[in-house]
Amino acid sequence: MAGKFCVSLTSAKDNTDKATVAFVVANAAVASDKETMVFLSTEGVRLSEKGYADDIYEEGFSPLRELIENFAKAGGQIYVCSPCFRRRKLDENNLVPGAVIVGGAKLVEFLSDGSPSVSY
Amino acid sequence: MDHNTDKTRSQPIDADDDAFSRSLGEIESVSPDHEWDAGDMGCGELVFHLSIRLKPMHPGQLLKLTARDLGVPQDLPAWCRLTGHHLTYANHPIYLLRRRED
Repeated sequence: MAGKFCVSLTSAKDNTDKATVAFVVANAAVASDKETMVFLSTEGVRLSEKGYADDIYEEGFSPLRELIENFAKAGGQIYVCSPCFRRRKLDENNLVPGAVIVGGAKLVEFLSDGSPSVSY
Repeated sequence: MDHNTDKTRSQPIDADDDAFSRSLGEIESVSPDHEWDAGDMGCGELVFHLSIRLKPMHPGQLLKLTARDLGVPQDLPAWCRLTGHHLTYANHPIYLLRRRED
């Protein structure tokens, strides 16, 4: 079944439960043959840095690092909010695979032909 | 066209094919109708102000944009696809936009 699917995530270590579940759902979408994109904004952009998620492990779920890696390997895209990334002074040369820094127009384009979206 | 062979481009950018057909030298010889250095502005602010700047321009006129925000290489081609403005050159942080027909 073709189609797009967006998962919007605004949390990182401030809410590891939400961060983990967002990527679990994203993996479900990409495994369901959806063109899936995780949009990281505000605190969520920290997850785009290699190594940041290495110590995030929520009981009952796979480690977040593994969830993110599997998502990218399956073809999932991670859009990283540019101004959110910049104001946190993160390193654009240390992004996890699948992550790309974007502005609002890229998000609008992805959603503009009717993509469903779930937010965490 | 194999974009990866274009040594004037610093990174792959998802834009219209002809955005890559000019060298940096060629683009420096173009006389844009307007120029704007947006500095570090990006995301919604950049495209909002870009829209305001392009609106009073005549269809077909060229705007040379300098925009250093890290999201611009992805965002500007997407915005042009959404709005119908034409990205004729892209080599971050330099871009050339042709205003759309009304």
